Amino acid sequence: MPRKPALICEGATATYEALARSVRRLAASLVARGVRRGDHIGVALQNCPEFVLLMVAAADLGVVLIPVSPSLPPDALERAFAATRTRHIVATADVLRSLRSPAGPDNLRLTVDNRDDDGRFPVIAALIGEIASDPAPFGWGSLDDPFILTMTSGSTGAPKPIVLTQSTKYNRAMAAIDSYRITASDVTLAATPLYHSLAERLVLIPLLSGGTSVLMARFSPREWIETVRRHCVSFTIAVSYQLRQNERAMPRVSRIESLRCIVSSSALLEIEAKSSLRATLQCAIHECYGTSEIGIASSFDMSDASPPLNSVGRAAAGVDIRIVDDDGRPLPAGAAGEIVVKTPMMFGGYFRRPDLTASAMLGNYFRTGDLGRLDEAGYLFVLGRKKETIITGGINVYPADIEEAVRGYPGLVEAAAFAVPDDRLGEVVGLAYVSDDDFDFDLPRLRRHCGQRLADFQQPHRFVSLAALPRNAMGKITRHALPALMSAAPGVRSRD
Amino acid sequence: MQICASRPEPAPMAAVRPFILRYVQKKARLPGEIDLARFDYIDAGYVDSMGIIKFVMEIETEFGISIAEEELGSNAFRTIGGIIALIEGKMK
Repeated sequence: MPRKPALICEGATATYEALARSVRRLAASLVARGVRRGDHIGVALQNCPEFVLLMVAAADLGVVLIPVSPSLPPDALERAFAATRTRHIVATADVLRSLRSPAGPDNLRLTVDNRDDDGRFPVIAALIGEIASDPAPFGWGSLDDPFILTMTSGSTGAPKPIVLTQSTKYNRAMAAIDSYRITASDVTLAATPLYHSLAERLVLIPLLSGGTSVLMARFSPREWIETVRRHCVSFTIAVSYQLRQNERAMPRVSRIESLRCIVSSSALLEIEAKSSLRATLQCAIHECYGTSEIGIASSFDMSDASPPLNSVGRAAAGVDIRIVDDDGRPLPAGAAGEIVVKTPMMFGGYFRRPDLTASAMLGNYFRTGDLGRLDEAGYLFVLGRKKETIITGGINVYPADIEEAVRGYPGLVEAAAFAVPDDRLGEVVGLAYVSDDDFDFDLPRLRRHCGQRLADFQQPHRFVSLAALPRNAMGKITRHALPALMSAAPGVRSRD
Repeated sequence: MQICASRPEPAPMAAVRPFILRYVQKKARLPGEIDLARFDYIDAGYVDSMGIIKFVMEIETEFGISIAEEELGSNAFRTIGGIIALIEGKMK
């Protein structure tokens, strides 16, 4: 076991022995530099082994991590860190240089790679190296401690960080281990960003079950297939857009012997893609449904007797799913309404926002904001979203963040972001705007403005100029009408 | 609210290669033994489908150029040598 590979990333392998030693030394070094139990550490990193070390060290120290996309612009990062009372930051040297908040004894600024830097920011590997002994774990953390704050809104004035306690993350990983019968012989792949809760779980699953974690720093269908082959990956949960892209690249490959189970998440995978993947890979294909607040609510098992292929399966163990009407009253089988979920994997509320937490709950049930129905056999069908979130490549984008970034832009009267169906990413961001002078409006400049003010996953891919935004009788923008207006508009500008 | 204008002075042509090499290595370092000119950084996931728009916007802002739709889909755009040549060609 000590010599067994625990973590593989970008060609580097850490055994359990080495990983545990690095975690203990990192924890000791952080404590020596002033980190205390309950401190908040912002993490703006791409997928890398140091991210995983930080997760495990944070659990030992009872420290809270706030993972965010390193592609967020500096002011959005500052707002996210301010909203989460972040003291210390671990980020790329580029990100650290761009932040205004100064480093100090109470505000560590650490990086993972200072090749382009003057050594201003201490590097995690050096911190580990400076502890010569092999210290014991601190054991400060407990299951009830907040562990990870997940940002649900990156750059508006009112972010809603989700509190995930150590027990929430542990229960979610253990639920996956039980559901998908994961053992120490499994090699589990994480191919999504670690600032997203799915990849965090995918790293914890093998580490909690004695298996091997393979962490991808970069995704393309070719890399995914090569990584799975090279490391004999046997299990993964992938966001559906990745599987859709992989499926298209599959005809070039033959069956991958090692793969025994793939779970698709974040958006429904088309029946054709599901069947094709199953035929090509000859492994179990599951589908799951959930949100950051509740983890996995339902799971679809192809080995069930004739499951309805367009459903997202039945409630996961210990989970209760109900469909309710607008007044929160339960609806019978077959009726469409809002999906509400009671689960032991429930989040710990929105950070310091008991008001928002209360309004998101219906008794012990979380209001997902998604529309669905349950059939007589308990299969859940997701019919759409009540909330206006755009899900691009498995990552949530909040229209308010996009609209805030362009508010006040010269010549722009108003704008509304909306979801545009996309072949590769599932959905992409569309932006409908009204300008005071359409003829002279400089759209390329607005696009570049978005390039600077928004993260990579938030970039609008489609722009449509309208005379006025569609509104309902209450004056609220009717976003769902925007895709049709976009198709009808003569001035649609796409960017991909 | 602060409005970001385009750079007053676009970066010089000598900056193209370092800018591109730095950008594509944000996720991970490039392997040492590759033919940089022909290396398909998109196929290898150094810039993915989620990141491509921001990549283009930052190139346009940095060098004061415009990249057309059809150029985005071209084979030249996919390789490190190709995209450097594409940008430098527009700056001449």
